[in-house]
Amino acid sequence: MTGRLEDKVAIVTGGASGIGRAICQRFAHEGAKVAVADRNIAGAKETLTLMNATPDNGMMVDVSISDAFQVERMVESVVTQFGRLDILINGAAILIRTPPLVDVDEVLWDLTMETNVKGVFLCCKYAIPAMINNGGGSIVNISSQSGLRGVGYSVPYAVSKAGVIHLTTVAAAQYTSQGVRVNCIAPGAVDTPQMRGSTASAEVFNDRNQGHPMGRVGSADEIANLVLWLASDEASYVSGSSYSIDGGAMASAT
Amino acid sequence: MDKLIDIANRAVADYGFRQAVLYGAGDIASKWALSEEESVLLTGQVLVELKALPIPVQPDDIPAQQARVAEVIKGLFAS
Repeated sequence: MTGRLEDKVAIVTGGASGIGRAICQRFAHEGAKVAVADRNIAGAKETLTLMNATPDNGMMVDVSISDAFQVERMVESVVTQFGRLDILINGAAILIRTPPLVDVDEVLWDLTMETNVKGVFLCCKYAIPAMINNGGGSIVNISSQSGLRGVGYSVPYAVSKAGVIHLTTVAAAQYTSQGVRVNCIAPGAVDTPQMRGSTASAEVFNDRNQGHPMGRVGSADEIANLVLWLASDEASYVSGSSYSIDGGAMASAT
Repeated sequence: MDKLIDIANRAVADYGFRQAVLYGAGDIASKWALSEEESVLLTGQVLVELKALPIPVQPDDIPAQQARVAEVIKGLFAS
């Protein structure tokens, strides 16, 4: 099926790689006009190429999402280029591994919170008025299974992703009545450059696959499928919800 | 110099932190309160070194890579 996002305008933060890139490609395939927002300019350009984007249906925005001025300018530039804003995907995040809580450096806490929580807040803050101006829209925040359980590899990342889930709930409570649906997904392990880069070796990566209930981690395309549905009008009665997408890993956890 | 080496050591050992440096060097410089000279080196030659690292750096190779990048940084300050 194509055309599920025909004439919709979307901003995808973190669109330069991994899950964000897969979302950009899927959205473009479904007829959306997509702004690939990232600080990784080379990666964002690659995403536009993979989307077969033209100036009529794709653009790139170099943005630091923890900077209010840049985020405001991003939304303005997208509305100027494409005439409206219907969809915001908050996919940009950083994952810095840390020791247990007592030994976490304050600077790593601040860095993570500024990108993963403040960044989502700012993007919502400036996107929501633009959506309301054209009758509503859909926001999908990318959280993580780390935000649902006590993972050990990064205290700030886990807490930030829990924050994203609750930000989703609060934003939905405040803006659903004005036509803006706000939802969240919490992926488990997904085969992305970030995951491979954070995995010590091919052997460790294979072990992760073999320890998974499905015998493999997820693909970015599988995550994009759920995001597509939430962003589209097919999910018109869905707001304030968070969806786990982990191939049964949480259900199988002992 | 010690702050730059600290940043580089973390970036060698952790791919996520490396990404934060590669695409947000200005933020990192600010958070670590780098001097102007250190900031210029971070956004210049140090980033070049970090971009060239394998993904990921294998755990057994981390000490050697950290030592190598630290030597590059010391050389930059000496020159």
